[in-house]
Amino acid sequence: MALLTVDRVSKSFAGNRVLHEVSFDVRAGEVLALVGENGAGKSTVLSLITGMQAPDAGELRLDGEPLRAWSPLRARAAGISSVHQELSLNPHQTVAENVFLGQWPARRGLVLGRDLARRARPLLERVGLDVDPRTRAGRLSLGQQQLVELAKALVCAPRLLILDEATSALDDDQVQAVFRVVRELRAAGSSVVTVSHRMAELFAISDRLTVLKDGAVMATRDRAGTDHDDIVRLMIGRELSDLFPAKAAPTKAATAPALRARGLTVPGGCAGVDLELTPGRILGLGGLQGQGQRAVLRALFGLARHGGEIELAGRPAKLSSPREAIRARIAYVPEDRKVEGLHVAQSVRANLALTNLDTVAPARRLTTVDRNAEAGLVADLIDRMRIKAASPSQEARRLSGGNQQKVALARWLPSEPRVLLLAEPTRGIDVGTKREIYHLLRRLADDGVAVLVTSGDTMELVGLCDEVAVMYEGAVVERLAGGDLTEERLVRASVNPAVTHA
Amino acid sequence: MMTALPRTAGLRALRDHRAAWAFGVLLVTWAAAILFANGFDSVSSVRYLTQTASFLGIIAIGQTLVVMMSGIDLSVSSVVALSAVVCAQVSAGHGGAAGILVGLAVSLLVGLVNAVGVLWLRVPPMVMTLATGTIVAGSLLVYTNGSPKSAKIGLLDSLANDRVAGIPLAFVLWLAITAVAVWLLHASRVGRYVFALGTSQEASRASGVPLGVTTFIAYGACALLAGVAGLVLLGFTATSSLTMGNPYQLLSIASVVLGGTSILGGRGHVLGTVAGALLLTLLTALLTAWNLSEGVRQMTLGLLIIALLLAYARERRT
Ligand SMILES: Nc1ncnc2c1ncn2[C@@H]1O[C@H](COP(=O)(O)OP(=O)(O)OP(=O)(O)O)[C@@H](O)[C@H]1O
Ligand SMILES: [Mg+2]
Repeated sequence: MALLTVDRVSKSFAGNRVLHEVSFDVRAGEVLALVGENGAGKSTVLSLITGMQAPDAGELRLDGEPLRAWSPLRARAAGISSVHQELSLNPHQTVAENVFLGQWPARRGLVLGRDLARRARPLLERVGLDVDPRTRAGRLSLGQQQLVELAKALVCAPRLLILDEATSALDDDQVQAVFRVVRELRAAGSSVVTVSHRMAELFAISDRLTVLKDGAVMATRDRAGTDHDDIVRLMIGRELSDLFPAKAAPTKAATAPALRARGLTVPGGCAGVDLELTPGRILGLGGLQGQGQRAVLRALFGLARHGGEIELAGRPAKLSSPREAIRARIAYVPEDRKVEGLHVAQSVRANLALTNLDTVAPARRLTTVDRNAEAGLVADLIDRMRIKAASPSQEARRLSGGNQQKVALARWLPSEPRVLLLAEPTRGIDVGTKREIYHLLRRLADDGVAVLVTSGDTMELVGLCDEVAVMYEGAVVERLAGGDLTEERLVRASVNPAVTHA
Repeated sequence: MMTALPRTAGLRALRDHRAAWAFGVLLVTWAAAILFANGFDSVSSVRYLTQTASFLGIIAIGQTLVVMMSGIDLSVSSVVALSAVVCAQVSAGHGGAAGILVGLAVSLLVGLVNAVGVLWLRVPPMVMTLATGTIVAGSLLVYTNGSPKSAKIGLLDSLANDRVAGIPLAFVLWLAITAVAVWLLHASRVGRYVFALGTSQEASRASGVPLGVTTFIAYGACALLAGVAGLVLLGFTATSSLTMGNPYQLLSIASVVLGGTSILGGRGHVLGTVAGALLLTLLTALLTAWNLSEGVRQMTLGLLIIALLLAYARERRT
């Protein structure tokens, strides 16, 4: 018996058809995966289920009853809770307050902080989160915040849990915690709909997979009756060969590093990190989530105050602001693209132009923006990166997650950076695009860019990087390259640095 | 959406909903005034309106720059008085030209101090500008011993009262300033930075937007324009007073917002502010024409501003 039926629903935004007669159902006690490229319409379908939006045509049925006047409030009351792609925690409130947001336990109208924390604890434990419920949510790492979102979704014991890329910022351990929750729910007869671009995860946890392409359902498959290649073929409509590009040829006569850091230290972030970023090579920063990788990148881009020495092309340099870093031709794609990576409320055009105003609005035109040059630059980047946008004037926040990431990266390309810093470059990005980005990064490296990448995805680091520096509690504890760079060694070095280090 | 002003300036401005709305409301109000009130159908009344709107309009253009980068300038009323009073005082001893220069220089100085406070001391714009405004007002009191001078300076007199081809010079000056502001905000690099800062400080920082330069330009220009308005007002009335800027504080912000610019920054168009300033001036004139008492007039104006805001310039939910 289907718990939820999605029956031929369609949805358009401003004449742009996003969903076309989408049908699938979610059975009681199953885990259904929704798969599809960026912009395929996954989040949009889910927003219909959670009552955030209403379909233009078609019908949704819960327990056979058509949903009328559906709203987020009613969906919650009906036992549907969700973890969204976008984080929605209030950074100024405590973890416990966030978990119980809107349903604070109160005694005679008084919210009791102690009470709240006590009641939040078991929920946090359930999602494998070891933090004090009284910490402010804003102090947590992205991954921890995502787990708090999950805890929040569990407060009302859902019958249907929706996970829209709820694991995108999590490391392997944290993903296992999420899986544990999902399995518990399934065992209790609840259903889960999950969206992720990490295929391995989908295969590990789901019972059935529904593939969306360009807003239409291509197929629904039982897990046992399908495999990775089959799903990818349905998703992107073609075979996907060599996900990762070939690595750099091992040492063509020692190239001088483009950037060298010695004893790089950020208070509360990283300590004594030595790094050499060499043109032509992709260096990875691995390790568990939140071991100081982010601090290293932010320091190198002048966003975090830091100690230690930095040399650029052999000359000592001070990077005390992003402007100085940019002048030194360092580019940075942050992990939180909604906050730092993009101006989400501005158009794709404005976003792409902002970092290239030197060329688009040159001093010889008295810094007047040259509309033609701007349009050309934007069209070229949209084309080159295959950014899927309704038009260049579409607001960045209206793009699907993957396309936002492409914009965040594309905006740096025209200035031809020498050093490219990327935090989680493929978070929330579909396999086809991942492949594009991997190959693009390799091409950039081949053209002489020094690339530094952080990633929580072990497979990605192993497949993409020439060398990986594993971080633990703010320090580099292991460097893996060549034959040593395997998933197994990487995982072992990340979780048990003391042993491998000894 | 970030609206731009290329060759097809008019079209783009129209597409920016709320700025276009401001012009629509202005036209309707004007038509209503002509139809239902006395004395709004003559050329001289149009002249008078555009002339008086110019004082407010010049200040509001500067305010737009600041609001667009999600700041606010609450020192404009004091700066208006500052430039006029100082100019009158200096010109008494050293001639008109010196008076004008010194008046503008001290105005600009206030803007730069505002920028320093907002930028380096990280005082919220509202607090910083209110504080400098209060300090300026206080020092004027000390400087003039409570009795500011009057002055008749030829250049200012003609700037405020003369006409070219029937059009008040003050209005021409306002339009010229608007043209420059349109270029600055909607066609130049600085404008892109202002809009970027108005939408997200963090993202702007990580994009290499020069926060410092942009802040100095916006607050500097705002104060300078308030100074210019003060000088024109001095020319208009030939006297300076310590309170002559007071009405313009809130009206300049109201012009910006009624012109469709988001008070949170990052959204809007300078031309909307022009409509906003004309609209507010027109409403004030209407209320005066109806012989309402000062108190009732202020109450009505306040209510009208709220009503108009609700009608079309409300903040959107994101
Ligand atoms: N409010 C909106 N207005 C206009 N277009 C929208 C809106 N919401 C979504 N879209 C468009 O609908 C399409 C589908 O978006 P959706 O977010 O559902 O994709 P997705 O499958 O979740 O992608 P991703 O994997 O990148 O998250 C995209 O092309 C997006 O630009
Ligand atoms: Mg999505």
